[in-house]
Amino acid sequence: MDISFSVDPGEFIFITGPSGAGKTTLLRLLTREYTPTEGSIVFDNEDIVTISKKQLPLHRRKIGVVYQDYRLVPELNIWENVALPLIINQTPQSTIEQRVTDLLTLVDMTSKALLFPRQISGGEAQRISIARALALAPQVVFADEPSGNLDSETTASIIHLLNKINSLGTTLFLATHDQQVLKMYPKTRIIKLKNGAVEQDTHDKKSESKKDTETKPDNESESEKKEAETVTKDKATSAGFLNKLFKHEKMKKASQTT
Amino acid sequence: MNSLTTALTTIRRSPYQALIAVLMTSLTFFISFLLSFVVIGAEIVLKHVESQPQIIAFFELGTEQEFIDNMKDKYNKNPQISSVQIVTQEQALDIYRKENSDDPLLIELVTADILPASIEVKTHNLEDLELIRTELDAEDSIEEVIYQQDVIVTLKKWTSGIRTGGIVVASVLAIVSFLSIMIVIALKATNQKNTISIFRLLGATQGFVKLPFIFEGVLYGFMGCLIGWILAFLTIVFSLPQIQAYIGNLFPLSIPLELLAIQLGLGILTSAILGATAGFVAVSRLMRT
Repeated sequence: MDISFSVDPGEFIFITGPSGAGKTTLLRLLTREYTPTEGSIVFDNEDIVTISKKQLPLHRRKIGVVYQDYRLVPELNIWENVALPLIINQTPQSTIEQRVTDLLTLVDMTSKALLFPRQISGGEAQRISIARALALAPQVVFADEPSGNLDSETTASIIHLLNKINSLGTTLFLATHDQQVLKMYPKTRIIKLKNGAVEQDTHDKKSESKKDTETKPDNESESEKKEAETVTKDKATSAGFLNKLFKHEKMKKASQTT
Repeated sequence: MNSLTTALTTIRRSPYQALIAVLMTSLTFFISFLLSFVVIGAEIVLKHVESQPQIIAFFELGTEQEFIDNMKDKYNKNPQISSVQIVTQEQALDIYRKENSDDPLLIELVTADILPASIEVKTHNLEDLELIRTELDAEDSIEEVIYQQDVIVTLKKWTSGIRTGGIVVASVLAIVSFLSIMIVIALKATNQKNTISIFRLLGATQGFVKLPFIFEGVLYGFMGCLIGWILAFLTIVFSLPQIQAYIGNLFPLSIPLELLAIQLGLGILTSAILGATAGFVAVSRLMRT
């Protein structure tokens, strides 16, 4: 792969391209499953290419990943699968219980909390995968073909759920080659990959058109700093996003009952 | 869902694999405990034999007490000799009475006059026994010399042989147990390769992934050690009366409770190290691939 782009906190980006274009490879580079032969990947002001093996688990906890094949642990029930990142993070039990309950409510899966992954449908498994990805309130969520195995109706609900998560402040990468999904949010930034390279980035076009209309910033160094920030953390947004999310859900439920 | 609970769940879900590991470890500890009993028993017998007089020289009947005392003084001054003891005719009669206490007719027939006095000698080194025996044999008033060097040397060889053999057998069995636990855990870890990779992707540290497998190894070792110890204990309890009947009153035998407690403590420690290492090696090998 030979690609270069930057992402602002809270952005929603579609990563698209044909099979073999490098969408999943991009995810694996971000989670350091793969190490690039050259270049750098800056996340939260840190080059993840050079982080030590000891730091790697901590880095992975900052990114929530939604896999096409869900990757739920078959030996654990739904509740335990959602709790898994929190257990790994050694979160106190009381917090785990509260957080998992909230997440299951969010994805509307509380009634199936004690079932095992083999006992639920693909759409439900994907919802659980999303809930698990959100468990540690990550700064970035990478959804790799989350609708790959789902029907159009379920796909729509999953994509809406992911969009809602993004609207609450989480940076969202959504890798897909499904044109229907891309049409659901036409104004969203799209990075199109082909043979491991960026073929098109709609962000560049917008930037160029903005550059034409806007005046150049006076403070040159401030502009450079902003440019160098690849995927950075908006701490206030990230820490608070789950709370907002849950409040939002609770308010919605309350209004429905009244 | 802590590591110990995870390990117990894994054991429960594949009972036959767990059974193999526990049985192999039990056999190892059972044989090791029994061998240690045999080695310690042989050491006790050797010490007992060594504590006995190594040369007993019987005086001719009617030997003067003064001659006997002179001979005692003479050998007391000999630097090669560690102890000299005289058994008078009366003391010999007492010993005879004790040994034949169940036969009053024999006790009645024998008097001190017909029992010879004797001199009992022990040397610092077993090699000097031959020289002392020759000296005593040359004395005019000595009728017979009993000499135990061969018994002690043979016993020493046996003890040393049992100890070496025991260490070899226990080591081989320990290696087999280690491999059994390792293979069983490696099989289970391979089965859970997908789960392990999910754990790693979710940010689990190596310790988080490895700990349940290490606990599993420790549990196999612990269970094996406990079963082995119980079997060894029962073997001792049931075989002790038979051994006692076989050796007679030579040594009074009793259940060595302190030794059993020490064995159990050391066994648990060893089994924990054995199991933990096997579990660690098994899962580390898998995580490297």
